[in-house]
Amino acid sequence: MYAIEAVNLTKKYGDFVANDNINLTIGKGEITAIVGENGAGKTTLMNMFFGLQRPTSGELLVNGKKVSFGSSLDAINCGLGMVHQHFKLVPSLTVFENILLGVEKNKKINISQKIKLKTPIINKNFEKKEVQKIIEDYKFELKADDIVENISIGAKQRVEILKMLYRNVDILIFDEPTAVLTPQEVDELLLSFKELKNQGKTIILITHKLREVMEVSDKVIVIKRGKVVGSKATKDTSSAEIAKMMVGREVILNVSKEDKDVSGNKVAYSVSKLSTRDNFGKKVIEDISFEIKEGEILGVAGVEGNGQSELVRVLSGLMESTEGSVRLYDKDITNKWPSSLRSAGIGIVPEDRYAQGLCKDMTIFENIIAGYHGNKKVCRNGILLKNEIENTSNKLIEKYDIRVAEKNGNVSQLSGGNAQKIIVAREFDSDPKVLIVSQPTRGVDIGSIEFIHNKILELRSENKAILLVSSELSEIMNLSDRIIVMYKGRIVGEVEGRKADSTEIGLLMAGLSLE
Amino acid sequence: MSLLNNILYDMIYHSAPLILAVLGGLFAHKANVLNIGLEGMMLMGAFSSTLFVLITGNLWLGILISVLCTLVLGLIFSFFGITMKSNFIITGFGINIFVAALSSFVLKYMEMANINVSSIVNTAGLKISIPVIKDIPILNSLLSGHTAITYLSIILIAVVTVIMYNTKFGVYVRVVGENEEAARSVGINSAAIKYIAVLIGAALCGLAGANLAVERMALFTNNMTAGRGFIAIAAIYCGQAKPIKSAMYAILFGLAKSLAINLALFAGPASGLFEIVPYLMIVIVLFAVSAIEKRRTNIRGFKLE
Repeated sequence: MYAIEAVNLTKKYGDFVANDNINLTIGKGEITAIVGENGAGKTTLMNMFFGLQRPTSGELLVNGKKVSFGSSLDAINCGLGMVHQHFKLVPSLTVFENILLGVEKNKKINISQKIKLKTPIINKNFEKKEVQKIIEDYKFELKADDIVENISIGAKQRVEILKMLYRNVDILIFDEPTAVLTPQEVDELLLSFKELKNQGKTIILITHKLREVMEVSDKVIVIKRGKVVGSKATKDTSSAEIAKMMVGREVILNVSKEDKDVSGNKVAYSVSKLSTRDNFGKKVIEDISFEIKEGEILGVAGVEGNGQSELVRVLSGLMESTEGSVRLYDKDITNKWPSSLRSAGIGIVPEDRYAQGLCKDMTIFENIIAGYHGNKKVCRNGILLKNEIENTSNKLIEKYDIRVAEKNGNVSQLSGGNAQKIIVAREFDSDPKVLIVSQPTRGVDIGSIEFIHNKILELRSENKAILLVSSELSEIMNLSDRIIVMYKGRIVGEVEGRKADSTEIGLLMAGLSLE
Repeated sequence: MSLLNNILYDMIYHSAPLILAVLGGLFAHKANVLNIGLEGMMLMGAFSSTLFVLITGNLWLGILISVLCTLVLGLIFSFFGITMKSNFIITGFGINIFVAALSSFVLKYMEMANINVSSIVNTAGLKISIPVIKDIPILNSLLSGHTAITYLSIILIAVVTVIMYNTKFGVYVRVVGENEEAARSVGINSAAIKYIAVLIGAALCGLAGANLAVERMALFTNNMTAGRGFIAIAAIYCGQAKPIKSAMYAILFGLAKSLAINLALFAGPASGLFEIVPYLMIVIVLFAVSAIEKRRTNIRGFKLE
């Protein structure tokens, strides 16, 4: 008997078939990895497993019994739990309050031996003890009474896992669980997977990171364009083979770059003693100084939430610095607004493509000139030149291999990878002197990652200075000439890109010094 | 000494409806529902309580019916704002205009300039003196000689604090406001929580209106709430929707009103000017609170999540 069995499962949105006759089985007590590019239909499939969406046709069997989930609560009651990529936690509550959300324990007053009066007051002490007990049962590192907003991302994830375990779930679905973790935290999570497996839990892991797949899973299922294109025991396959199945062609997983001596080049971009505070008056970046020479890529590594986002916001003009200065060659550009930064020759690929990089409900044409409206090529005497814009846009769509269904359509029709390529095309093609690139490949499929990485290296060989911020350590290590590591808003170390080794950077990311 | 006593007594007297509206309104605020209909709900409370006291001839029955009336108003607001997902500002504004229009229409129809129920309700008799406290100087003006709903408003500060932080419902309200997805994922009916939050606000606004009209003056005049609902929203905003802190702001505005009334006695011809003191104070307090928040903001133009 299988833990989950899908029989001809199909999900259609209008004419679009997201999942096409999916047949798969997930063995009890096993770790099954489901891999595929973005938009391949992994998420739709998991949403059907977890009761967030109803299948158009087909059957779903859990522990041999046919089920039909109306909501995620039905799935939980059936023993299925899901740990989402974006945590569903309440930041201002404690760990135990989050875990027991919806199943709170109330205080009882014993009037006599038999009659117990239930009060509406929550028994916080009892809840705390109970949660601390299950934390210890599963050997997790957590404290029950910490406030969730103060704990690390890894800890938040453990809270999510416990939230499911507390509800007696024995099949756990993890949606891209390692996207936000440090290398050490990833290792810890993989260990927890093994521990959970030993306790008899079934685990489904959705990911596109092949290292993790190879390390923990028993079985790999590859999904492409809504269909299962491969299903193999992990020990019988290799990363390269899985990547090939996902993309449909050979993929170079690690782009190679030639070493280059930049010591004689001019300093293009320099930041000195930059600090700023957030809305609550807390120092989020402190005393940041670095220089980037022409033709050099400086990588900024760090666990998310250690000031990298704020650094990029300050450097791209979305936030003001309280101290320090930023210089482009010998021009002071501290606290300039984004439009003046762009006209000064700084290209910006922001962290969140839909919040800061694109306007979803506007056309591709409009987005491809966004931020460069004042450019003489597309605008004369304050009037936008429609033909010029269309020409530029069509050229870029071709040059950057952006796959659009409808050229005159809105950006919202594009998949994550293609939307990201619009930003990349816009910023890379405006001939910037310095590029600030933040999370360039977040949520982007393997094919597009390869493309974007090659483009970044191309700019490097054109002698541009590039600041690369990413939470993806392998990306930083592959591309950067030098790497700085941020921890709690400060730079805690710098390593040569060539000599970098992931344990060393991982330790720095966790705030431990090298000694 | 008697001036100080008067100021303190009036402070509580004028704070009571504000505290009620604040305590009611902060549930909706915490649940991420912007209810600007507090003003209309309070006016409804004032209008319907006097009207039904007049009709039934019974004070408490009138107040009870007025609470039911504001609950209906709360249901209308929730239905449009939460179920139909219309804009909260427009819905709330609609409530405010509707009640103002309804009350003046009914007054016109009944051919009355105002509703006077002093023949039924003896306002002096509604004031309750508390033994022991009434003999302690200063404290007696703060805590004695007030009406039942005024005492209730002060007791409710503690009750609401307990509800908000120590009961399931309070936790759920905060969860729905902070991360609705999280609430839904564990099976909390977020729409129901929002409905209840709005309805609590409506009921307490009903009481606030009743306190303002029947209990204090046995009289309803057009637009007698005079912006108190908006003052309550300002107090909730300044107090970050924390029950005690927001209630303190409500009392601060009560103090402003009381100062305006008591000091106007000495102002002679300029006394009318003192009417603006409470309103001016809101502008200043809101400005100060926003300025302090702004100082902490380094993000330009828009708020990033």
